[in-house]
Amino acid sequence: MMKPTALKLLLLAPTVSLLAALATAPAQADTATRVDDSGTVVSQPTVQMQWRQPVPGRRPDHTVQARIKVNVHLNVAPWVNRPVRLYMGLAPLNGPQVQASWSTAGRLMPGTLRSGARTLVYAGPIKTSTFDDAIELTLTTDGRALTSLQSLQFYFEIES
Amino acid sequence: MRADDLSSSLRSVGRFGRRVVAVCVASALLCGGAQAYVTTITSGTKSLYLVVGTGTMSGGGGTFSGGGTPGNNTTVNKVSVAVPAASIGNGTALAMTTDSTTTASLLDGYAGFCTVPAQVYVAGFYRTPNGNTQATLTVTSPANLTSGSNNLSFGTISWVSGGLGDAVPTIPSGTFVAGTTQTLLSVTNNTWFESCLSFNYANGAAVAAGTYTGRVTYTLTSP
Repeated sequence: MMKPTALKLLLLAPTVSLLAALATAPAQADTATRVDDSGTVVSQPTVQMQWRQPVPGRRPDHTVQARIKVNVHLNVAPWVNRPVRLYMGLAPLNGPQVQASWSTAGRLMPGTLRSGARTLVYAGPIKTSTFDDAIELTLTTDGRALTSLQSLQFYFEIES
Repeated sequence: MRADDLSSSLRSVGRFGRRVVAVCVASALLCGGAQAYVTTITSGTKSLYLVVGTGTMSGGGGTFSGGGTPGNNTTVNKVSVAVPAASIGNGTALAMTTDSTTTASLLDGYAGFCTVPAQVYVAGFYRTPNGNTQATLTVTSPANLTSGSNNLSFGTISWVSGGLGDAVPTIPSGTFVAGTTQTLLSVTNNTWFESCLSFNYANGAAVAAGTYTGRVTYTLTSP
């Protein structure tokens, strides 16, 4: 027969683990703040999506894609000398979901996101009042569903 | 005085309130500025392509996948058969041969897809951004092949569909229904199709001597 003391220890073990987990969770979620990107320049305000395959193959490929260059210029003066997490996001769309992937000149991290989501592009301290990089975006979506113009609104936001 | 203190207190609150409002307005202006960079995307292009027999492809090694550019080839290829006098109308079908020289796929140059002179290459695609619609491949035949005033029903000609490596031919085999337009295939959006057709003359009845000719037309129609 098990001793009462040993039984108590077994019951307490999960409780202690739960408390430890609660202690490591952030006390309060960070608030994201939109970043002034009015200095950002897009190479093509309007871009014609091209079928990924110039001619369809024996298996259907409905993907259309386009590449655009973006000179990113962010006003990050409010966060100088503060560690931040910088995200790039794409607003939700009424039309088909659009995926964006990008390469950068090195200051921002390359990545991928879908419309209605955001992706971390920088984490660290802000040292200057502006943040610049050149990114090349590749946009893809289902060409069957893209039947009209779609305005893609990319944005940056910071959590500090 | 108590009343002055209260009044002063209210004024302070009022000034603070105005400051708060001013900050909010400034913030709103900032938010209303260009805090999103925008690009507008437009739909992919619509296109339709059909080749029957020998096509034209410039550059790219003669293939689409190589970057070739298709051209309009106005040549009308022929299939024919000469029926030996001793065999006329004996009910044994005779294979027809073509003057088309296309053997490789125009998509990717897949060699030996069709064999000549036994088979006629038929291929194409349909591409549209408009949903899951399909194009339709049809063939229209006149009622008869003719030789002067003599007629021979187009219903005496049939075809067997194939293609190297195709377990199931894309275009089904069939027989011309004389004087009608027949649907051969519903072409799925954004998909390449191709088949090799071998034509046969039924040779089921004796006909007057002569050279009988007729033309069928293949059409790919998009919605």
